[in-house]
Amino acid sequence: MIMMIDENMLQYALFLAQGLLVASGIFSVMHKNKKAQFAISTILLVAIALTASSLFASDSSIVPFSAFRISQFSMFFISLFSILLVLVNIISYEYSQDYISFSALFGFTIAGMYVVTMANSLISVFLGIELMALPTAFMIMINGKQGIESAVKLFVMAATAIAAFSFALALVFPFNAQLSLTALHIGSGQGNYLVLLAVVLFVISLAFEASLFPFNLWVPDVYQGAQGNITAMMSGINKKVAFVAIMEVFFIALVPLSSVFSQLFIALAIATMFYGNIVALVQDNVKRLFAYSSISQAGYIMIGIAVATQYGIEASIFQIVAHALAIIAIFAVILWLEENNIKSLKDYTALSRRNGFAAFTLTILMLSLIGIPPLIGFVGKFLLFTSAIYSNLLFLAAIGIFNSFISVYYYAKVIMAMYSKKEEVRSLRMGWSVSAVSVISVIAVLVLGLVPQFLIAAASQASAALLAI
Amino acid sequence: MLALFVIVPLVAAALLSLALGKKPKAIRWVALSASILSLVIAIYVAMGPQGVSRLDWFSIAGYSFGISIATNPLNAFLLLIVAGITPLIFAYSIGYLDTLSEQSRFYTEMCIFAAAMMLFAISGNFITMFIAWEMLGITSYLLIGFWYWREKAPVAARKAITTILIGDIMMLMGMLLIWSTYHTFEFAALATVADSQALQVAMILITLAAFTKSAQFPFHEWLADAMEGPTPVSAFLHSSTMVKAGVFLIAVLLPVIVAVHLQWLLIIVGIVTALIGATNAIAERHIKRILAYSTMEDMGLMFVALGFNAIYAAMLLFLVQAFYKALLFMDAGSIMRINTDKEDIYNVYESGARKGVLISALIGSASLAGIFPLSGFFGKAAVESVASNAVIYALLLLVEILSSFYIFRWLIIPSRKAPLEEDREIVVNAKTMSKWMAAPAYILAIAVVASSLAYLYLPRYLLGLTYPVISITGSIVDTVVVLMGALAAYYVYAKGNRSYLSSTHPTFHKIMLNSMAVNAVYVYITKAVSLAASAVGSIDYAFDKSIYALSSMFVKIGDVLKKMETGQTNTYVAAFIIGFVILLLAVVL
Repeated sequence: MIMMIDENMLQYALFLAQGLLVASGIFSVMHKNKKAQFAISTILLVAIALTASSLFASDSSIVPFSAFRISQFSMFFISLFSILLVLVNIISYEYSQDYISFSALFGFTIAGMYVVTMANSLISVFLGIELMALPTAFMIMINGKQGIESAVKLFVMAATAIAAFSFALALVFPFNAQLSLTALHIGSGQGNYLVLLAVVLFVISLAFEASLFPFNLWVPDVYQGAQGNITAMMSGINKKVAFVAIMEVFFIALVPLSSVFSQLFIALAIATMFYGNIVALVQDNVKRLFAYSSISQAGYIMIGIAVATQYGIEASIFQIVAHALAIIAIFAVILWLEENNIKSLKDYTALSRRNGFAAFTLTILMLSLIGIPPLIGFVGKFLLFTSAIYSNLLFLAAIGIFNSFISVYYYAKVIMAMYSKKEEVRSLRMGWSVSAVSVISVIAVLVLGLVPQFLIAAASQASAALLAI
Repeated sequence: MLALFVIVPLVAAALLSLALGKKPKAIRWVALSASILSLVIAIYVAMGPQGVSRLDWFSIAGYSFGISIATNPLNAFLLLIVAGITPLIFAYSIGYLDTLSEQSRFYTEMCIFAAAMMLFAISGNFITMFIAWEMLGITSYLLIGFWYWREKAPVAARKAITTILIGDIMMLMGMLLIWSTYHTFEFAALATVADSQALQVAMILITLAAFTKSAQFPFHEWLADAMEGPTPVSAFLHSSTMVKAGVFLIAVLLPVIVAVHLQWLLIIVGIVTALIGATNAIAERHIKRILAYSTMEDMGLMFVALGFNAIYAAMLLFLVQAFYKALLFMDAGSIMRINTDKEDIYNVYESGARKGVLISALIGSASLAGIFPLSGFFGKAAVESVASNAVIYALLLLVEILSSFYIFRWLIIPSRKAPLEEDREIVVNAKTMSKWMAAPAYILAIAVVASSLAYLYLPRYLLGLTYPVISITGSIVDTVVVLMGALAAYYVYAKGNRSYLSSTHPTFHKIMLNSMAVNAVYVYITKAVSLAASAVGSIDYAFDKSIYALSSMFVKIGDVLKKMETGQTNTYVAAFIIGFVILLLAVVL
């Protein structure tokens, strides 16, 4: 009984904090106090993370308003995203050109992320994705002229994708007059072309959100055009929310069709890995290089989802954490370097002498992305590839490993540039927010690589909760 | 798990000495104090509880991977040796390495080297062991090639790393074979598993890997060349780290090796290497290389003892060898320093101004030769006493007589009187030589004498049994043999006949130098391989080219794919629609 009260209270606290977060963003436009808004939003995010993790710990499964679901799966991601959002908030506070507008939009985006993460119906997924994507496009516009071009691109593409999603909704609704994820009961769809069309539409719209090839051509342009903090948020959180949406839609609502979509996912994973890694080889702009790098990482994450076992989902969840932790700090450092007009690979020459810590941070995080032990990226890839092997998809694991080989080429190019020597270097001072985020993420990448067991256990519980729904 | 703290001071010192690049003088003190701290922790660990503790790294699908720390008597034994020798080596380095710009690099690498060996000592499963094993290989490569601008050092370092990498691959194969058969990496679990073909193959691979680290035939070539590194490195590498790793690994895995009947491999390779080492040492003139060949011989004897399943005999020699070999290398370094870095024993001279060097070298040599009651006697006599095969026993006696001969040659030739014109320089050098180079040698000389006591205590400590007494007859035979060798050396080299073996007995010298033509065979093998390579159009180059072609192919594909990025939104929407159509067709068809 006491347990029940606890859970309910926590549940209300969670919703209250989330509401306050959105409200504080709106009010900040009126009072225009940067410091206060930063403090309030950070505290609220931390509070949400704590509430969500205690709900995770209490293993609750509640369905409030029938639109949301509080389970270990959603709570895992709510706490993860809240922590990551704190990092984004920190760098945005120092570097955003208009922090007040940013935080108003930030509140809406976060609301969208939470709605998707806790969704219990296809409508929630649909609205959440829109709520996340639109304010993001506006946030990109804060960056001036280049930003507007990127924002329009994102807007047009997002519109295309969401059109596909709503068409798919219309196709599946008549079956049971239900849009709840658990009550969809769509059947195996054998020979039913409408169902197959709906599946493909779901796949392409969510593949757009998760930046899978060939629905991701816009990604590098947008990442490059947006300011670094927005890029960090998009690649570190928005894309991960898309993966959450994929898991919810396909592993709750469309489970009977798994034989159909896992074939598609395997193809998408392979194409995305190759595309991201190969095009990254020829990039000269470092921000663009990492845009392709995160595309290839999306391909790795897809491996676990394509495997479609509990173990594969667990591996994907782990890799989501691993990639998000690294990429946010990487884009934070890149943001700071761009402010100092260091953009192309050539500008990165002798960075280690100009700011040793920045070079060290980038090196450690890139090694984690490659998958070098004892960093977190190694464990993530290890889990992914073993999950593929356990499901008799040896070729998928082999392609993943081969892609990791390819990726070493461009990561090593950056590392080599940073540690090569050059005469006459000026030293650079790192902004406090970038230093803070770098320190946090380097420590996290190292520590979670050395003692990953509790994170693996949490990912395992989250994936079990997802499949149990 | 607490035992893991033993490497913490050294790792911290390694990082600190990287950071202290601008204050080179402080680094040596940091390293020395860290090594002493490690020694204190090692003593604490050795007195602490025994057993194996595991720390899981991660577990998947029911199997868990993790590091495992063992503090059994055998582990504590090696840990104490390493931790005890390290401060002495670091103290010696303070006197030896006075170039300020090299301090940071040297101590960083040395600290990691020592830490890796300590980790190796306490490793309880293959994962932990392999991490330490690899760290040993890499740091030894860096240290052998420490003076990378010299002509020979990079070549020697490459030779070492090539041999060691062959061993690493065999080790990895053996480990994976064991994992795929038994799903365990624990040493302790391996002792109880059922015998199988796979286990036998795996143990052969692991034994061969141990041979590469311990410089056993046919992987012994790198060790003598490794003398290109600084002398403290040689002293460390030959006494307690690196070459000892192979022997120790086999000692830990001995029950398994006995179970799969691989003793013959240890005995044969050990005795062959011992003979190669002993004969090479007789013909060699480089003051440090003689000692390197002697190390090969000692390692060979330890493998013979292990082959007779006599772990106590192997470990006794293991212990005493660490002391006398470190001592001899330190004295060799001092003699070289006095003679302004000359290396040929016919060109270097002892100086009366530094009697301590001569006396400690005498103690070390006598111990190596095996003269009662120095510790070396017990080590060697113990190995001989376990040799139950008559042929092996005879060969061991031969090795004994040879080793007594070469080590007294090593001692006698430099101790002759120097020519007048060189004498002054030598005296000046001897007077200015740092005390830090002499003091550790004195401590080691005391240890060489005192470690005779290990004969009484070690077997009880390791195995809980009283020592099988070395028979009186065996001792007498051993002593006679050693004295024969010593007298021969005295007669040939001291009694007015400071003969050059190469001029008086050219054929004999040639045979000895080539160590039964083994080295010559190596030259032919290398030549044959390179000929074969060039015959097929230089495989190496073709391989290189194919990798290059592969990478440039991907870069070209990248260039093509990049063209999709037009920056035009309509292209992207088109790609979106094409993707949709393809996926739809894939599903429907």
